[in-house]
Amino acid sequence: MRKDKVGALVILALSIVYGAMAFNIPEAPGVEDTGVTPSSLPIALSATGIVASLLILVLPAPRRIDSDRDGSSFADAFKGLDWRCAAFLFLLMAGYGLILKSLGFLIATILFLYGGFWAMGERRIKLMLLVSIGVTVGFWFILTQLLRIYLEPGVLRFLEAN
Amino acid sequence: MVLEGIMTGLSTAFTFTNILMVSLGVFAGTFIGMLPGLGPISTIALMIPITYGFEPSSGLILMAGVYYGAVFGGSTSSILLNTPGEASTVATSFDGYPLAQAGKAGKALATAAYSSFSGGTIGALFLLLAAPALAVVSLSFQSADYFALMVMGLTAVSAFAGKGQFLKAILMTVLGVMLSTVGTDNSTGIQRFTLGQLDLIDGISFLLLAMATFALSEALISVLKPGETSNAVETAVKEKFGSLKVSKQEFKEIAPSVGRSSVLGFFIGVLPGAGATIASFLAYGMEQALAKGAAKLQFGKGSLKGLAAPETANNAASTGSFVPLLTLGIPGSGTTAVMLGALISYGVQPGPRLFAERPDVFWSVIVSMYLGNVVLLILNLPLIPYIARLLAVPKPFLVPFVLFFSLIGVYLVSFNNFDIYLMVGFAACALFFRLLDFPMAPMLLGFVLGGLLEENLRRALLINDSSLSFLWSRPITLIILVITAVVLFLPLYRSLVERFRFQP
Repeated sequence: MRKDKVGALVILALSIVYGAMAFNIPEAPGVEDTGVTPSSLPIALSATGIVASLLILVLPAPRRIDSDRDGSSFADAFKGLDWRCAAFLFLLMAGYGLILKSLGFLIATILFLYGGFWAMGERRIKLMLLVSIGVTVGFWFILTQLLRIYLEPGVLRFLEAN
Repeated sequence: MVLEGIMTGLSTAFTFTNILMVSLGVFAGTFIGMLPGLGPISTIALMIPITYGFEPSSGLILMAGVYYGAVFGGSTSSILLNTPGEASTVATSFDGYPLAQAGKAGKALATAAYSSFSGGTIGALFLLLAAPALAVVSLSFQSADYFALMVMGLTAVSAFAGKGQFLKAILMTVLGVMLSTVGTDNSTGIQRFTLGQLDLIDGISFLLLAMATFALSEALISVLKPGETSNAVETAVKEKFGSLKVSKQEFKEIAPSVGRSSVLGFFIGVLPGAGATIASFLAYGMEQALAKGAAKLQFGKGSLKGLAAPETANNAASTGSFVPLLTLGIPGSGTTAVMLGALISYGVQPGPRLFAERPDVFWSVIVSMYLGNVVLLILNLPLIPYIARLLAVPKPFLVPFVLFFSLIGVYLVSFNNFDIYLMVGFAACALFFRLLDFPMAPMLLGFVLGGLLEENLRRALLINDSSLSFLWSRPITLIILVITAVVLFLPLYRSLVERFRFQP
C-alpha cells in the first residue's frame, strides 16, 4: 500500500472518531443566537477530514510519486530505520516524565541524559557521567539560583531542609 | 510618522542589554539552526521557554536574532554538508555545496551572508513602508474579513505545499484545527474533546505542540535515519573552508541577482502560505533563466549567482512574511506561526491594534528584525568557522540534549508531568506522519489559526444576526473569499488532473 494512502486512512479514522465525539458535545444555553454551537466547527472539520482523506484513498496517485523505487510504499517508508534506538529514546522520555517529580530534577535529568547518551551508542562511561552531571547541575544552578525557578528536589528534599 | 516610529524602535533596540540579546540570539540561532535536521521552527520553539521571564522588547529582540541566526544556520549546513535543515535552504545547497566541495566553503558562506543581509535589508525597507500602510487599512477590517483571511491563510498554506502534497497538506491543516478545539470552548465554557482529562481543560499548549512535532520529531528522525557523522562536519570545516573573502568583481556579478531576488522574495513572502521556500526556488529559477552562456552552465556546479539568489530571496521572504503577522495578526507560515507563539508568550498580540496602541512594540519588532540582520553579518560571519566547529559535538550527545531541552522547556511552563507524556505521544504521531511524507507546518498553522477562526466566525454571525450573508455582502470579505477559492481550486484541479493521468 502506498504511504500517503496509509496516512489518509489513519486520518480518516481519526476524523470519524472526532466527528462522532463532536455530535456528543452538549448544547450550551443561549448559543442558538448565532447558530454556531460548540459542535459546529468540529462537525465541519470532521466532514472536511473525511472528504479529503477519502479523496486521497480513492484517487490514483500522482504519476510523479507512484513508484515503488522512490520509496513511496508504506513498507519502504519504515524499512532500514534504527527503530531500536528511537524506541529506547521514547521510553526514556516517558520515563523521565514518570520520575521527574518523585526523584527530583537533578537525579531524573542525570539519569535521562546518561540513558540518552547510552542509547545513542556512546560507551565512554566517565565522559557520559561528567557531561550528564555537569550539564544538569549547571542548568539546575541557572534555573534555581539565578532565575529563581522552583524545581522539585524529589529524593534530595533533605538537602533543601538544611 | 514612519520616521518617528523608526526612532522609537531604534531607541528601544539600541541599549546595551538588547544588543547583547540580539547577539546571543543570533549565535544560539545559528548554532541550533545549523544542526542537521533542526530548522527555524524548532530553533525558535526551543528558545521560547528560555526567554519567558524577559522584558517583551528584549525577548522579541533576542527572538529576531534567533530567527535570522536559524535561517543562516540552515544555509550553513546546506553549504557545508548538503543537509538542508528545512525546505527553504534546499535551493542554497544546489550551488553552495559544490562550492564547498571545491574548497570554497568560506567564500560560499560569505556570499550567503552578504546576500541574506542584502535581502533582509531590502525586505526590511519594504516592511517599513508596507506594514504601517497595511496596518492602517486593516483597522477597518471586521470579524467577517478576518474569518475570510484565516480561511485564505489555511488554504494557501496547503495550496503552496508542493506538487502531490496538496491534499495531504489540507488534511494536516484540518488535523491542526481539530487539535485547537480540544479544551474549554471560549464563548460557551463547554468542554470539548478533553476525554475526561483535567489536564486538557485548558487545551493543548502551542509550545508543547510545536516542540513535540518539530524539535522532538526532527531530532528523532535524525536518529531513525543516521546520516552525516560528526567526522564529516569536522572534515568540512577544517579542510574545505578556504577564505571568507568575496572579490569586488564577484560582488558586481551577484549584485543584480541580489536586487531582483530581494524584490521577488519580499512579495512572495507577504503572500500567506507561500513563504521562503517558494521564493528561494523561484529566485533560483529566475536567475538560471536570465543567465547566459557560460554563466548558465555554471548553475548547479558552484555558481555564486545561483547561491546568492535563493539566499537573498529566502531572507527577503522571511521579512515579508512579517507583514501579515504584524498587521493582521495572521501568520502565513509555520515559522511565523511559531514567532506568533513567541510574541504571545511575551504578552504581545500582533494585529492592527498593536500598531495603533503599542507603536513602541510594533516598531521595535521591525527594528530588531533588522538589527538581527546586521549582527548576523558583523558578528556571525567572522565567527562562522568556529561556530561550525561546534557541530563536531558528537551526535550521541546532541540528540539527548535536544530532547532534554524540548521536554524541560515545556515542563517549566506548566510543571505538569502530563505535558511530557503528551509531548511523547505527539512526537510519535509526528514521526509517523513525517515518515509518510505528510507536511507538519500546515498542522501548526491550523492549530494557531483554529481558535481565531472559530472566534471570528461567531462574532461575524453575531453582528449579522446569524446570517451567513456577510460572506458576500461585504466587498472585502467577498474579494478575499474569491481569492481563496482560486487558490484552493487551481491546485485541487491540477492535483486531480495529475492523479487521473496516471494509469495504475
